[in-house]
Amino acid sequence: MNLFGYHLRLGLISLRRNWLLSLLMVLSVAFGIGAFAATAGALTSLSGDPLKGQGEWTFHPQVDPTPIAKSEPLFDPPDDLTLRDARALYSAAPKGHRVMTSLNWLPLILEDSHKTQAKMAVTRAATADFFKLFQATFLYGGGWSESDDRGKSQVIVISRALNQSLFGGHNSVGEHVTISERTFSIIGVLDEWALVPRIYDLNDGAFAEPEQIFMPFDSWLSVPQDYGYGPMNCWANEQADRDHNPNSETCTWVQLWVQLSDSERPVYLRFLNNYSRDQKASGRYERDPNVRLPNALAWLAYKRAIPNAIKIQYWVALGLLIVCLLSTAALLGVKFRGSFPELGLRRALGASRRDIFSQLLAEGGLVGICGGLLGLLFGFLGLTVLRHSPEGYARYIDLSISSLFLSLGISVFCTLLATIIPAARAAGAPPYQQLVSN
Amino acid sequence: MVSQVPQIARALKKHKGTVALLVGLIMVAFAVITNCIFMIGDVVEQAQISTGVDEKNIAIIQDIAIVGSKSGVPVAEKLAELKRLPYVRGAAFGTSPLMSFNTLNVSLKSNLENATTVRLFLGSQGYSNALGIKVVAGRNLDDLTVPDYGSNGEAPALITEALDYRLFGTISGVGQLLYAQGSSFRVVGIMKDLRGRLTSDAEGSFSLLTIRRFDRQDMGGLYVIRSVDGKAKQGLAEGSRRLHELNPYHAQPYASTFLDMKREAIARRVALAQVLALLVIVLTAITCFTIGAMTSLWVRQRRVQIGIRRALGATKSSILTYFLIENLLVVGAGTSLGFLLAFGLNATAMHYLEMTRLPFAYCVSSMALVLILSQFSAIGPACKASMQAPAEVIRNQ
Repeated sequence: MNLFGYHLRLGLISLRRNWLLSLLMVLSVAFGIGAFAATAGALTSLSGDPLKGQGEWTFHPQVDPTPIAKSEPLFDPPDDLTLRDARALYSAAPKGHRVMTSLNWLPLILEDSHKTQAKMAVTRAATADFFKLFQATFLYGGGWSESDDRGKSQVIVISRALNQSLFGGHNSVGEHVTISERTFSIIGVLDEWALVPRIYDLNDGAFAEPEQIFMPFDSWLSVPQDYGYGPMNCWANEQADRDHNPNSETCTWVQLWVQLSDSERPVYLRFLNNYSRDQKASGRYERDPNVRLPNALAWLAYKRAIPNAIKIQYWVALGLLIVCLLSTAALLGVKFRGSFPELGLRRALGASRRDIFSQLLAEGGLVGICGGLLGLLFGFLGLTVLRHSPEGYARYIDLSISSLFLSLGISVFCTLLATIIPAARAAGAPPYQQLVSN
Repeated sequence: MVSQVPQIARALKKHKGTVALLVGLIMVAFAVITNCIFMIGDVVEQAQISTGVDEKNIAIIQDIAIVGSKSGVPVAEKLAELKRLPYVRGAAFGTSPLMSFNTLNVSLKSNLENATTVRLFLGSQGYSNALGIKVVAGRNLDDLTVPDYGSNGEAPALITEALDYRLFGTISGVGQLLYAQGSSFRVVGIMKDLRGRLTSDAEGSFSLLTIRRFDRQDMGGLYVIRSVDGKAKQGLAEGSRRLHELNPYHAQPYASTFLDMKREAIARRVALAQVLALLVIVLTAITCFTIGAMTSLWVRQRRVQIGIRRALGATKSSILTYFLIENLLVVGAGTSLGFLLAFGLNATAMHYLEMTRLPFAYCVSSMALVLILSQFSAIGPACKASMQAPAEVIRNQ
C-alpha cells in the first residue's frame, strides 16, 4: 500500500509539472461527465416505470372496429375503444382491477355574491378502481365505490390545485360545486400526485396538464356536454359522428386499463380474440380480430412517450463525453511520451514494468477523480437548467443523488480505461531508449 | 510544399495511436456539431417566420357558450361592443394562424379535378381588417357584399400570392372563380401571405380567406381583436372584460396576445436550441484546445529534430508549414470521416426522431470552418517551433 501511495504522489507531481495541461484534461472530463450526467439523469427520471413496478401487470386492451381501408396493410388498432366495446371488455375484466376512463372539458360555474364566472375545467371520467390502479393518494376524503359508479352518484374528487384555488386549501369534503348545471358534492381531494409519464392517458402528450376534477364514469356520461373537446375520434360520415355522440358505434374515445396476473393474461387475450370474432360474425366488425394487450411499459414505448428533446440532448451529451474521453486519452498519451526520460531512469533504477504502469495509471486516475468531482458539480447545474425549461415535463426531472454518484464512478472508470493503453505502451518501452529519448 | 505531404504522412504513421485518437475525436466532434448546428438553424429560421397577419397588435380570445348558459348576446352585437372599446381598431369572429383551421380542396374546374389543398380562414365581417392582412392586388374584402352565415352560394375571397401563382401562374387570379365541395369563391384580391403554421414551405402559404355575415347567431368560437399600435395587451384585457360582462355564462378558456401565443409555440424548441448551443460551444472549445495542446506538446517533443533541420538549412517558414500541413492531414482525415458519420447520425435521427435531412451545403461549410479553426489552433505552437534557434535546441538536451 505504501507503494501505491508513492505512485499517487508521483502522479500528482507529474500533473503539477504541467498544470495547464492537467487543467485542460480535468475540465475536459468534467464537462463531458457533467453534460452526460445531467442529460442521462433527465432521461432516466422521465422514462422509468410510472407505476413503480406495477407497470408490468397493468395492461391496455385494444380491439379494432374500424372498417377495412382500401389499401390493406394491417394497421394498428385505434388507441381508444367505442363505448360498447369498452363496457364489454370492462365486464370481462377481473373485478377490482379494471378502469374505464376518458376526458373532457366541462364548465364549472363559480358563483359568489359579486359575479358569476364560467370556467372550463379538465374533467376525467373514471370507474372506481382508478385511484387504486394508478396509485393516487388523497389529502382529504377518498374515492367512490362501484355502487357509486352504477348509481351515477353526483360526487367528484378534485385536485389539490383546484382545492387551493376554490377553497384556499381547506378540507372541502362535503362542499358542492356546479358543473354543467348539475350539483356535485366533493368526496375527496387528491394530494400531489405525479405519474411520470401520465400513463393512463397519453392522448394529450405524456406530460400534459393534470386534471382538476374526477367523476364517476356513468355520472359523467349523464352530464350534458360537448364531447367535441375530448379525445373523440370518429371515422364514418354519419350525423352521429358530427354531433360527437358518445354512444356512436363509429367513434372511439374510452380507454381501458386492467391489471392481470401472469395466469390471467392469456385468458383475457383469448377473450379479446373471441369477442372480436363474435363481432365480425354478427356483422358489426369488418376486420378479422386485430387485438392488442400491451402492458404499461410497452404502451409507453409504442406511444413514444419520451420527448424527442430529451433524447436529442442525451445523445449529443454522449457525443461530447466520447470526445472528452478521447481528448484526455490523446493528451495523456502525449504527456506520457514526454516523460519517457524520467520513466527510463526509474526503470534503470530498478522499477518494474508494473510499477511504471501503476504510476501512470494513478496519474490518469487522479485526472478521472478530479474531473469526476467537478463533473458532479456541472451535472448538478445542468440538471437545474433542464428543470427550468418551459416544457411540461421539466418539473418531473429528478436531481437524484445516486445518478450523480454513478457518473463519478463512470468518470473514473472511463478515464482509467483511457489511460490503460498509453500507460501500457509507456511501461513496455525498452528503458534504454526511453532514457536517451528527448 | 506539396511534395512534403507523403513524407509528413509517413512520419505520422509512427504515432499511430495518438493520431487515431485525434482523428476519432475530430470525427465525432464534427458529426455532432454539424447536426446540432443544423437543428439550431432550423429553430432560428422558425422563429423568423411571419404568418402574414399584424402579429404585433392582435390578440385572440376563445369564447365558449357552455351548457346551461342563458341565451346571450349574439355575435354581431359582441363585435360592435368590442369595436367600441378604447385601443381597439378592429374585431372579428374567426380563426387565427396557429389555432385550428380547416383545409379545403379548391379547383379551377367545377368538377374539382386537379384540386389544390388550401387552408381555409373563415371569419365574420371585418375579418381581413382584424387580422391586418396586406392586400397587394385587387381589393380587400368589404362588409357590403357578404353572404350570410350558412349560405352556400358564391362568396368573395382573398387568396395568397403563393396560391395565386400555383393556380393561375403569371396571370392574376383577381376576378376568377374557384370551386370547392359545395361552394364557390370569387377571388376579389391577393394577399401578401397568410400561414396557418410556422413552416417555411410553399404549401404552408396556400391560404384562402373568406367571410360570412354573422348576425343573430350566438356561437362560441375565436375572437380576433386588433389594437392600435403597440396596445395588444390592453386590447386583450379590455376585450376579455367586455366579453365577460356581455355574457357571464360564456367561458373563456384561452385568451392571449398573438406574440405570446407564437412565443409559446416555439418556446420548447428554443429551449432545446439553447441547450444544444451550449453543448456545441463546449464541444468546439474542447476540440480546439486539445488540438492546440497536442500540437504544442508534439512540437516540444520534437525540438531536437526541428533544431537539426534548421541547422541543415530549413527555413522558419518551412518548419511552420510542416506543422500546419500535419495538422491539415489529421484534421482533414477526421472531418472526412466525420462527414460520413454526420449523415449517418442524421439518418438515424430522421428515423427515430422525425428530423429532416441534413443539407449537403451545411456539411461542406461546417468542414471548411473546422479546417480553418484547427489551423488557427495549431498556428501558435507551430510558430513557436519555427522561432527556436537551432543551436539552443541542441544545447538544451
